[in-house]
Amino acid sequence: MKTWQLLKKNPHLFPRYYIKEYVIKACRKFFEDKEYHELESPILAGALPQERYIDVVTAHLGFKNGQINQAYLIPSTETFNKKILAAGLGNHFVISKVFRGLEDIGPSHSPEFTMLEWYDLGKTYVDLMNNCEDLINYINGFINSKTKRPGKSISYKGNKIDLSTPWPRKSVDELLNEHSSESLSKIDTLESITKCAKSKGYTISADDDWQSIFELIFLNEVEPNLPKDKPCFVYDYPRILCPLTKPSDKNAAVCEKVELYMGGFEIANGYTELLDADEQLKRFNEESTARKKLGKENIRIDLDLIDALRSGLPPVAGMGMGLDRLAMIFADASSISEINYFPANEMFE
Amino acid sequence: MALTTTITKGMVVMFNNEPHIILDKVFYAPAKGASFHHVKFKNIKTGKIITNKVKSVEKVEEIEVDTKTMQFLYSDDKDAYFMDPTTFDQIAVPLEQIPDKTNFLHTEGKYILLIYEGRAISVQIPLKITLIVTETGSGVRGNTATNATKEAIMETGVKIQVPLFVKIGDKISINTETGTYYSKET
Repeated sequence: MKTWQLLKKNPHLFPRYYIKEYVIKACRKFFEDKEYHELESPILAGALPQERYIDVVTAHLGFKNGQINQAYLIPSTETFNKKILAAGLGNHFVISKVFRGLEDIGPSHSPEFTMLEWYDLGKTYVDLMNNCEDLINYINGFINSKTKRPGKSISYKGNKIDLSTPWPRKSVDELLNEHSSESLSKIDTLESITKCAKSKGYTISADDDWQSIFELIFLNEVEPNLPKDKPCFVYDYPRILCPLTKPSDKNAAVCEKVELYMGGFEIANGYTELLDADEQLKRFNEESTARKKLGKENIRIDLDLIDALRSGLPPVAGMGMGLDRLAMIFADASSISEINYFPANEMFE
Repeated sequence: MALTTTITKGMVVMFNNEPHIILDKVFYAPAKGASFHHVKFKNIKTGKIITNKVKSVEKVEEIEVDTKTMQFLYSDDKDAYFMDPTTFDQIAVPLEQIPDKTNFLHTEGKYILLIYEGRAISVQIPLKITLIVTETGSGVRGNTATNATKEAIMETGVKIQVPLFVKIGDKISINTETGTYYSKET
């Protein structure tokens, strides 16, 4: 049965589906009250920033004039945000559909999803964490007012998530130490991380790169141990995992990137943006080479973004937040297919 | 050898050099990262359950197991008993092999059993089953646009939250994964 048929038969289920609507409305109101501009982003792009693991969804345009015919459905709005920041728009947000090519559809993965991105001028990833705490508490208040439920905490899958601030903030290195008895500096080469993973009993093949081994350890040993009773920020990621992020002033091996976890899910991802055009181009080339090695499709490099950086991008921090996952948690649903009227698994089964 | 990405729930594979049955598998990828699968393995020999995030490109060895379609008869404190409808052979399956799901077994129901080295290692419960409501209150009539539900007891004894309009004798379909009401059969 499709969701629309289910709802027709069971109208009492509607309120769960209203949650995503409230989340979107609350985000818009939060940033409007702060007088941020709203950017309407294109979702078709001719070229993209390079990121090694992204599988892009493509569209055929059908132009008959022999020009570029293949368009990419954007995996994030970031490139447009940065170009318009370089032009001078200032603080702004965007709520857009974004697309990722996926091997499969999962409870927290759909090839098409709704993303909020916002950009704070003159700010860093530390400010993003503060703003994030305010935003999610605002969304909670908005949903409370609509659904007449009280309080600063939500219940997700039998666990209480307390939203009162501050939320725990932990660096990747700290978490590795705590849960895996490792430190980033000791596993910073492919050789050392391979040795470490093998000693922990993981199966590692000669094709595995540093990132996938790091993720194997992080996902198995750290992620399940992140706090469940509060949202939690994880920050300072290894440089190689963040090709569009400013390196940390304190430690060149990591970048100023932060992720927000809630209810066991990655909800948001933000960073102090990389401003250096030459460094950005160098990283795009590294990523593009890595894509070739991984056998990924060749994607046209977004050189317009390099031009925008070269023209001068003011210091800025930006964050992307997955609104489907956030709505799923607020609705106490176990899959994003339970909060969308037209879930991907019904369209492509 | 099978790629992790192609293995499915109920498949039996060698993992850490021991035979394991896949209890669950969901796709999982960190933002802009490599693809993984969140896999729940159950060791067939020890019964130990482990959850691992496994790389999509990892290869695992699939093990051949037999399947038999059998009818559920009854269960006691320890085992559930099934019968082969053609040979009338009976087989006992320890209830711990059917965790949280024994309440969804009903006589008449036919289930697929996985047999490994002569032992039943798993009973596959369909994701959606239809059961008859044997007990439920009238429910307080309220605004039907709200989420109001009441408790109902099914023929197998399982208790399910149902919408207020469900009556004794109704057939309802239930999601056995979540133990929740799905819809009323007409």
